[in-house]
Amino acid sequence: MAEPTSCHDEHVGTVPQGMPVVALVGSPNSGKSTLFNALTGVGRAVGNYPGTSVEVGSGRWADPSFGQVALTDLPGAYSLAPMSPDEALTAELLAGDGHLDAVVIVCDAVHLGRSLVLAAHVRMLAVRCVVALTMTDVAARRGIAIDDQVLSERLGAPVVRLDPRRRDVSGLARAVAGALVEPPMHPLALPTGVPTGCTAACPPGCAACPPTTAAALTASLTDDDLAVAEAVFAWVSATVDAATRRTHEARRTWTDRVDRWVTAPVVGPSIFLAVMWAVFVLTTTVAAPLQDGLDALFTGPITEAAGAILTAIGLGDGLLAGFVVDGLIAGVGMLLTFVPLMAIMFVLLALLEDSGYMARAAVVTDRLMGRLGLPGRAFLPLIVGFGCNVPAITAVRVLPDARHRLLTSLLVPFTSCSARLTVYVLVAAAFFPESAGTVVFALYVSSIVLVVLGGLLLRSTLIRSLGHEPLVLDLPPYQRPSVRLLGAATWTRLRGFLATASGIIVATVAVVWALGVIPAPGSGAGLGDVPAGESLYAWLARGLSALFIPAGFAEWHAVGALIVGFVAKEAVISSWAQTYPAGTDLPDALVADLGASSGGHPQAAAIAFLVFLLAYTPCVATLATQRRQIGGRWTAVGVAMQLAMAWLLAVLVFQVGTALP
Amino acid sequence: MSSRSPLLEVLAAVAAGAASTAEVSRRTGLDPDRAEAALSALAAAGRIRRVLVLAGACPTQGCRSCGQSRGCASAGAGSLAGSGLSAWRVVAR
Repeated sequence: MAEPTSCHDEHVGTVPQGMPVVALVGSPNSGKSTLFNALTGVGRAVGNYPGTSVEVGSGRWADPSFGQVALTDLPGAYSLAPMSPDEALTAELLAGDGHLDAVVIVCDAVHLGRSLVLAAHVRMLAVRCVVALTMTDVAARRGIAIDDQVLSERLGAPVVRLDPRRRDVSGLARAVAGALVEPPMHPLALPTGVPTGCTAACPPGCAACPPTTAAALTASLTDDDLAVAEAVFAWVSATVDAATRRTHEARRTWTDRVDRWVTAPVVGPSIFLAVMWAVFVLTTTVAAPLQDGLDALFTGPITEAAGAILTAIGLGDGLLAGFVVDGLIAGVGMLLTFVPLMAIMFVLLALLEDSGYMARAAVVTDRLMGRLGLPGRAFLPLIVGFGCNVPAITAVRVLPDARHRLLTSLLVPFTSCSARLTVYVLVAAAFFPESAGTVVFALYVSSIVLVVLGGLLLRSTLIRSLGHEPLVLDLPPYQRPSVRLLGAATWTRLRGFLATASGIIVATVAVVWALGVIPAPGSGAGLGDVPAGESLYAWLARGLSALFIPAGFAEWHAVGALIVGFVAKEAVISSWAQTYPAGTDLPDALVADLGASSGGHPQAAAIAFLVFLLAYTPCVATLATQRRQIGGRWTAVGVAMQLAMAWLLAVLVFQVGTALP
Repeated sequence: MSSRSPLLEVLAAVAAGAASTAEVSRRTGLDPDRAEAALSALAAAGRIRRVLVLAGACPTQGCRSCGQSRGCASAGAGSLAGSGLSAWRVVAR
């Protein structure tokens, strides 16, 4: 099998000669990717399949029953009719072009009928199949009993029930091992409308068999008179009737009862706001002592040890010592004190996602956007933006309408990514120590308001005509989050935070440090011997400070942080740690400086600063992605809009804040 | 339910503006799972189109430019990426 190449991970490699290739296929939310993770561990490699923009997961599955196989996680598909590039690739690979040795069809027991449409299509091909039945526990609670034997007979393939969330996959391994030593299966002969004629004596791939190539499959599925579709549906319906029975009358599930409230028009948004408020209050409260401990570690023992080592090797007073101690340890170290905070927030968000609540939150907010005349479907990419704006902008490609894609790409930067959270927490804790969590929560609510305002502004000016397309809700049931998956999701995101801190932030720290040791024009100080306030960095920041006088934070530390924050928001924190003298209490220094720049209104200036930080351009990576998605001209329009809205709102907030008694 | 085939009933319900699987189910008398199966069968036949709003958010290019974007690859852990919000449209024929 030709192997995927990856822009993401070097683990996607070639399959060794002789190693069987097994693919997982299933509909979205069937538990396919969860199963893939359970089989391969969390070391999932993701990459584009060669010659396509379709992403596939790849990994190795080891088990005593077959040794090791290369496992491919094909994109989620509802059928093999190539209605999307994902489904086209899945059909092409399964139809024999991808040299797969076996296929595991993941069927969701709760939605057996829906899963069986895809299963029927796969079984129309001459491939070795094993059916993995997931969500059987949820089905049992809903009174759905499935007879595995009958289902296996109807499908003509072994059926293994499993709960991948609990790592129960041994039966599947045995079934796959058994399938791998058998010849490819005869295609399923559907009752009517499909070419049939296969018999037990018929060799695989014979002319009378149903289609065995992607093209033939597509031609047979896409029929004008619905004959094949009717045949598939009739087979699915008959299979569900034969293989399932009701153990008790279907009653309203727990999910249904909860959804009645959490997706309700008024109560739903209220619950969403309450949940998010709890997340931020909990995050800031629990993380505070941990942050203090890490801060003491970096400013104490680590700084002292680094100084001692540099002194011991004769570099204690040079530029290198300044870079290491005042640059790297102060800047990157300050950022690293936020690791506990980010970890706690990522755990809580993963909890909400894995339980199924986040999808409901998307529905609730989608309804609000729809009422405002904004494209409701755009909200899901926007939700991704609360983690990171870069994948959110990439995600808009799934929107079918070009104007929706443009509008959403321009709105994503207003969603408050997790990098901004570090600054919110630091500033909120410094200026509002008793209610830092509430301030952070208010900023996230402001982010949603900004998205709505920005959308309305664009709809009334540059993007006037937008089509309307209704949504169909297909929400997964609530489930108890798995500790292992929570850990994996949290670590993946935390690793991203650490990668940023060790990459672009180190580079930014180096630039800020270099500008900090170069004297400003006319200062008269020497290189490396200049007070921070007389450095080139401070001189450049002061050059822009006049713009922020009406916003109350025309102070060079604050303005300089916003400039480097254009590169990445994590750099805001590191720049402060670098430019305030060693030993300075950062929160106290910020309060004092903004108090001076605002004429005695430090809290109003702090809120204005945070609002500006929320609304202006997130980072250069976002701009690069935006440029690829909507072009340079619209990206420039977006930057202008962000800066204008950020400045206007900051000024408004400060002026109103200072006018209040 | 009329004497039309189940798939034609579902097709008519979608064309008439049924906005959710539950609504298709109510209008056609099919149970929700079978209504979903019917919609998938119709989509496979090219008679309606299912458009996933968000099938995955991982960028295909430039992923190394932002460490946070690596989090998007955590399939299975984030149900949001496959939450399945989708739109059905009747395909013009």
